Amino acid sequence: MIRLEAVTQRYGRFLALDGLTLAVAAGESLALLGPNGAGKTTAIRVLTGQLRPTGGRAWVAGRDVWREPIAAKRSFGYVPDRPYLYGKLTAVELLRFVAGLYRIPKPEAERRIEEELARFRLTRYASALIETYSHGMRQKLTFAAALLPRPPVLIVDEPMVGLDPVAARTVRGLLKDYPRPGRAVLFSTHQLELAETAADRVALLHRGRLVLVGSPEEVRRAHRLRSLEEVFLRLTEDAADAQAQVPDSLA
Amino acid sequence: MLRLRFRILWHSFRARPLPRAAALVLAAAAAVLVYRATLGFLAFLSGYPFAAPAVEARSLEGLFLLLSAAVLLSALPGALAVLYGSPDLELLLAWPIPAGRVFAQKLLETYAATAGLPALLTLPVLLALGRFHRAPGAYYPLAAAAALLVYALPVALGAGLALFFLRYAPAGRAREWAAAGSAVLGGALVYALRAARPEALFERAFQSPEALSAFLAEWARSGPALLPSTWAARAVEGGLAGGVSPGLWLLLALVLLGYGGAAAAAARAYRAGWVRSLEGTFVERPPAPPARWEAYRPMAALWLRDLRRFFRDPHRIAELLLVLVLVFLYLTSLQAMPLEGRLFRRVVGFLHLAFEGFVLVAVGLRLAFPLFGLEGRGYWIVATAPLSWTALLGTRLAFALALMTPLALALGLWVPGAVGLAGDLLGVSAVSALAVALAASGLGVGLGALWPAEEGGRGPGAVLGLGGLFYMLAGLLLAALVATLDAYPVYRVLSGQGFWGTAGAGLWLLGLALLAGSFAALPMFFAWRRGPEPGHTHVRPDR
Repeated sequence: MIRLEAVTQRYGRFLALDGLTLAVAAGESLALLGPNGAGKTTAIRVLTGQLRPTGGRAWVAGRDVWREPIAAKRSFGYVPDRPYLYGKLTAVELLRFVAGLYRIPKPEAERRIEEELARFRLTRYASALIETYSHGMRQKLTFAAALLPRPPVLIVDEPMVGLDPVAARTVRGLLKDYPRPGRAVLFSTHQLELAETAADRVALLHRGRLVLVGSPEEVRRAHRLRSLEEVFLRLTEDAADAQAQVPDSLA
Repeated sequence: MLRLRFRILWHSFRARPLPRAAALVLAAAAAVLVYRATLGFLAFLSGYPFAAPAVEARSLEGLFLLLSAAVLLSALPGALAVLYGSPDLELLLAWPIPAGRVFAQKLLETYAATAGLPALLTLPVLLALGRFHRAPGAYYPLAAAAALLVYALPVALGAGLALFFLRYAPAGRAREWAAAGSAVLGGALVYALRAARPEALFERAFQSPEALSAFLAEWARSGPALLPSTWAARAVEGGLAGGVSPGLWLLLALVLLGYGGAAAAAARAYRAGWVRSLEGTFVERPPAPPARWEAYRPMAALWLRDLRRFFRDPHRIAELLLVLVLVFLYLTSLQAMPLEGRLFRRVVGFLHLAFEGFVLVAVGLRLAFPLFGLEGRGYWIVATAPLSWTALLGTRLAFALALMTPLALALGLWVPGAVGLAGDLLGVSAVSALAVALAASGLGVGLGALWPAEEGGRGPGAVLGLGGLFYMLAGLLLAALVATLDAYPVYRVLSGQGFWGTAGAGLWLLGLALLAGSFAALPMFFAWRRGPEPGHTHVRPDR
């Protein structure tokens, strides 16, 4: 459902993604892990058609994101890490706008809008301007907008930022259950606990490269460690130490 | 803190050196243009030695007054945004720095954001004045100080007014109320300009050269003595004569008092929680049923979204109101001019033909150019939706045309009709205005897509950016070329020959269509070819 093939992204001299190859199958949820600056958001922006990669290709639901952008974009819902929305629209107006972009017929759109507002407990504030919303409410509304077209693929960048406990539980369940049947989820997170409970597989990015990929259980077993957190710390700290030692060795 | 600001500026310059350097070069070119134009004006005035000192003095006062009014208008929303709404305010106030100092710094930032451009525009004028009159060396710092100080007062006043809105506006509505306040202030200033009836000058008859000289001498010193713009003008005149005018000290004292008071009041108000009126409140409003005109197709949905966002944004409404007020002022001023005789009416009509293009281009900078920037940080919503780049650009152009066309019709048909200009020139005026509206829309949307205005082009951002500067240069060129083309039908009409129905009219129409078409199509084509690149996201790509 999701495929990145040898994706490279440069910002001037800085290499943000270095030949990243990754795939998420139907029925699967994959968590993208990595320290700050690892390339998670860049990978997601390439995948969602916001950033043209310097090299490599990206597919969603079998469509090349940069060669068939309209078809590819019709097949995913996206939740960014910073949910900037139109402050001068109300929540229900924003959802109707999204329904228009995805050409959802009116009766179906209204039914789904009602469902999504109820799912994220926004019904009571649906006609208030978004500029009056808290960060968490905006995040929930962004989820509602992403799910409205019922996309086969859901791509989420940092899902839990600012969510209250009830919404966090809803989102955790969503990340876990949405892929079944025949759909896929890719989400990036710093919460390793969330990755362990909600993802079928985890992929660790470090300095733009894929360091490991596998199910949480496989990863723990392969490194003979008790938790994903220990694996994460070992791999990223080892890499950082190795990097830091280069000048010494050169000296 | 000041050093920190300069470091931030330096880093932002280093991050994008080429566009910033190009913007600086363009700004320098504009300054040189202003300098040369002032020298030319002064040289022209020197041909009329009996009137030159009076006209010079009143022009300087007028310049200070006009730009001070402009600063006051932008200082009110600017103070709300910078003084109380800066994202770093909470951090700065949590650091061990006196709150008064933090707000004094924020007041300086408000000055830079709202008065920086007028001050920079005034400096070449004062430089030219000094060079023309061979002023002593001390003139230059004195004149610069007068200019910098005179614009500081409206900023302090704006900060004070902002405080009023903070205190008394309902929660979450302070910005809207301030924008409405700005529009009312703008309207009042325009009314004041009209109330002064400048056309009365044309109506005075002087029996002798002595009467004229006496009038000019009186007129030169008749500026309102209590206005800071008059003090600043007198300070500049004093500097030219090699002295320091008391007006300068008065200005300095007022600025120090105003800034100190505004900073202390801001610090107190912020800590007293008045800033709550900038924040939103939770209002329970269950979903409203869809409107009859609700759209469930992409293009219509984009239109509806734009209309809702545009007409709910107080900044846009305030700008639209100001445009309407200015058109009204323009119309009433033309009507008030003593136009006697058919020939004179035609001459004024031609002046209007030349002028309407410049007006439309100027309005396009505020209405058409920021349309792409309006997407702002919410651009990701359309960028990740199944929507083609062509559709997005096309709806922006259509929206710009919907805003510009009524204005073009008002300027092209209503204004000439009101001054009694009929016949062939009325048609020429309408067609020219529509052509400029089309060209300005394409130019604005195309350049706006290539260089999106920060935060939807609010405040000086739209003007200071590279795209805004390109728009202004290309727009000026467009208006000048259209005025040149219009000279042909005017010549035909003034010389008593008909225009419409001749071969010349066909050629004129073709030339106008080619000109407007190329000014609209080229930027749109470059924007379309460049495609939806990450530059439009307004969010620097993180890693």
